Amino acid sequence: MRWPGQATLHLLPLSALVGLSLVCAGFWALRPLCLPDPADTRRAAEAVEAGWREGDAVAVRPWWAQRLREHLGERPWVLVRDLEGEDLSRFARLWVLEQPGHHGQLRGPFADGRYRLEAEQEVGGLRLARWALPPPAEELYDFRARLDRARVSMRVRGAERACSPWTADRFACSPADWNFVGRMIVELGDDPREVIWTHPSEEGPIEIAFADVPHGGTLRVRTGFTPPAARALDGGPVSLEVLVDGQPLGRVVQENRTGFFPADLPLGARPARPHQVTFRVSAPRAGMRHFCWTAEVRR
Amino acid sequence: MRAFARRRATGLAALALFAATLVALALHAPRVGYTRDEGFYFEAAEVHAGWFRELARDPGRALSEPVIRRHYEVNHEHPVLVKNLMALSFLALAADESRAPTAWPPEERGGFAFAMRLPSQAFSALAVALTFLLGAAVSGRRRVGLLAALAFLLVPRHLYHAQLACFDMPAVAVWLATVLCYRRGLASWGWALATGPVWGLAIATKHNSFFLPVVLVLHWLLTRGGELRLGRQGLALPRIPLAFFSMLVLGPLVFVGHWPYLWHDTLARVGWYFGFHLHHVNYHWEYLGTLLTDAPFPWAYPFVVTALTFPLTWLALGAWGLLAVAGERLGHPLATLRGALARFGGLARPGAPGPAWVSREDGWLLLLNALIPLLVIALPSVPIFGGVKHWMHAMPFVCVLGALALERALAGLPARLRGRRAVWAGAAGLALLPSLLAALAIGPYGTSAYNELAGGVGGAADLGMQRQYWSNNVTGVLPWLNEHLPQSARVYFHEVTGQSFHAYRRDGLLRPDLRPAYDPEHADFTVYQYHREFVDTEYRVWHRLGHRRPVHGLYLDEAPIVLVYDTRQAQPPPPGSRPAPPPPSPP
Repeated sequence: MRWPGQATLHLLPLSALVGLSLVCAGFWALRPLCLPDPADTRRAAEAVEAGWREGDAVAVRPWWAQRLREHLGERPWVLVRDLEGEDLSRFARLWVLEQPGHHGQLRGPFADGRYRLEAEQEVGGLRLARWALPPPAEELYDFRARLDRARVSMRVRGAERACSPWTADRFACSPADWNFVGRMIVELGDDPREVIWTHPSEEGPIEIAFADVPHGGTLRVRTGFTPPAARALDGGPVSLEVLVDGQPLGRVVQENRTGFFPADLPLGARPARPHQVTFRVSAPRAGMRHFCWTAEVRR
Repeated sequence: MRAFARRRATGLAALALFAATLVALALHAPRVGYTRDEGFYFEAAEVHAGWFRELARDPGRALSEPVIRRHYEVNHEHPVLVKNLMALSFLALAADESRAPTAWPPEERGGFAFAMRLPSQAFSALAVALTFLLGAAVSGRRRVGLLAALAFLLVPRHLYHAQLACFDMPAVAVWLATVLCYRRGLASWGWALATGPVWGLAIATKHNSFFLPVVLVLHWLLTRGGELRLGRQGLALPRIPLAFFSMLVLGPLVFVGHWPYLWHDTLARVGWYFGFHLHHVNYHWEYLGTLLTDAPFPWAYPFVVTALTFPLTWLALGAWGLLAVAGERLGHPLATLRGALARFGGLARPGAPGPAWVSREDGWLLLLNALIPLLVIALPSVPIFGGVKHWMHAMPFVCVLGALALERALAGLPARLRGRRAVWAGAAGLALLPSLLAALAIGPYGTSAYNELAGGVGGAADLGMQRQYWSNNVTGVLPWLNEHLPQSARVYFHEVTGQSFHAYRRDGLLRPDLRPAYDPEHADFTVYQYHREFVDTEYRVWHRLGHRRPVHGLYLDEAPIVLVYDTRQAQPPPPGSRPAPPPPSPP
């Protein structure tokens, strides 16, 4: 084997410098050509609208490339970083718009056959894919959507103290601006979540009661703390107790971490008639407990 | 004349570089929006200008404590060298006591910001010129200085900071000036004496320079430590540079002297100043997908952020220069390793080291100045917000090391090759080209700039890096707002200060009929700036709207930077909610 001469080796640093500079210059010169035209996004949105069906949702890859919201922001979105790990059981189909360089990166259920690629098309530099998801769970009752119909109270020294009537988006339980039960969108983990905010109070448990809740197979509950709450070093757990017709169904204890954690409580053994469902939120130490939850009855 | 030019070529070249940089910055700056801090400094400088007026009218009264307090209590967490210069520039170029701030005639629009930004742009130009002088001095070649200076200026984040009425680029200039004075002061009484007042100006610019004595003392110990003797005659110290005495005596005098606020109740006010910075809060900051909120912060932060924002070519050149000079200075172990590697690669014969890159003294000076500012921020207890601007004063030294590396790369060319100058020019131009293209690509949105290694703005969004700060990227949507918003619409400009809002209106960047709102709940339109720590602001808008559709946006590499929401049809705010008042200026 013949080694390169010493003179040639001396030129290596200069060659490397020239090569690196050319690559870097090429990166900046060519990058605009690799980016999609905003018109491509609009055309992709038109394609989604044309094929839209009830039960569809929209997502983008990478998660932050959200220009599509300018056109489809009123449709249901799955705005999460970890699309593969997300619970998509509420949806029948998912439209995914992928940026150049992000094609074919979805793994998990997108790659192992659980989700089926129904259609895909190139729109300029973008790729629009439609995925068929497993048959969606049949949702019988969404507690967040019907929160305005709930009866909300605090149990103070054993006596019930009603919170305010529903106003705008909440029941206020005291003059403190955090002490309410209401609809919010908050960051849980890394993603926005539509939740019921229920900051516990040290005065006593907060009860959110729903009447005429249809009977179903499962009560799916999701709970979580906001990131600032989870950062509180002395933050304790919050307990969400579920009572059906006055009888305990189950209890979820949210430890001090951020995220949106699901739990399924089976309803099957109860009589198949409408129920009164009460959620009781309490915490031994209520400071910085930005506790959020949702629940739904599924068949 | 020619003889004079030849004798003074380096100084004249520095002057030309200064002038050209200043003109370029002043011409480009109107494209850069007003940063949060600039709003506060504009306001402070206007108040300080009042003191100068008072001083001209009635000096005795102007020196009294109540009058000084009235004009200098604002923004007194920072010394006032730059703000005083802004005040004087404002008085000279833009002030008109008879005119209300909002009543600027169209032909004078931009005059206020021009006057306010000019002094710090002059400091930026000075930083570029001094980088040139440093490079030329340590290498003995002007072209090394020129390349280092241009490399420093063309870093997109540097170019951005160079245009602002802030203290970060002035801090670079005065740091460099002090180091250059110290360097020359090792052989000259005059320069040694000058080091003290120049360092005084440095600490009168920003508190970074309080770390400079550490750098210089370390340099002295590393270069003269061998002369330390402990014998029968006791401890024999190497000669202490005169510059240190000058810094010790004259530096504090300049610091107190430049700042009228310290002329009364001096100890308490200096104590407050140090206390403020020793206990400075940390603003939340996104880094590799994590929102950094509290200490301890990752020690690698300044190194990773540098690696993701400094142009890759200059990152490589700077690293090569730094490692090579460190290898020379750290002596035997590294030299042995290098020799072994060289033998293995056939690059050099053992025992035949090439010529030194720089002198021993300059080697240490470059290394310490290139590393210590980053090491200070790497301390886990030091707040990390603000990104590269807090260690930007290391970067001229990194650029000089990089320019030296390019020289070394060219040394490999055959000795008989003709046109070596042209080859140098070609290589230097090629090395600078990516920086220039990157600066053009990012335009006025400098806080969003990321390099090729990060993959630009999009790559940085993938990595979970801070997407922007300081709010000036809002200029990307102002033309759309001017064209589309109804008359007298109330606009909530997320992150934009009231001062900047009024400045945009005054300078014709925003329609004068538009009114400020201070929260999205009481606004007709919300202009949201993506920050990981403020996502709840956007979620509040989604919640009230019942959808997630912005009507317009500024996107860089398809990453949302600024989004506009039409909040006129949003559900009403919760009961008892009152419009937020304008936020107060920070202390």
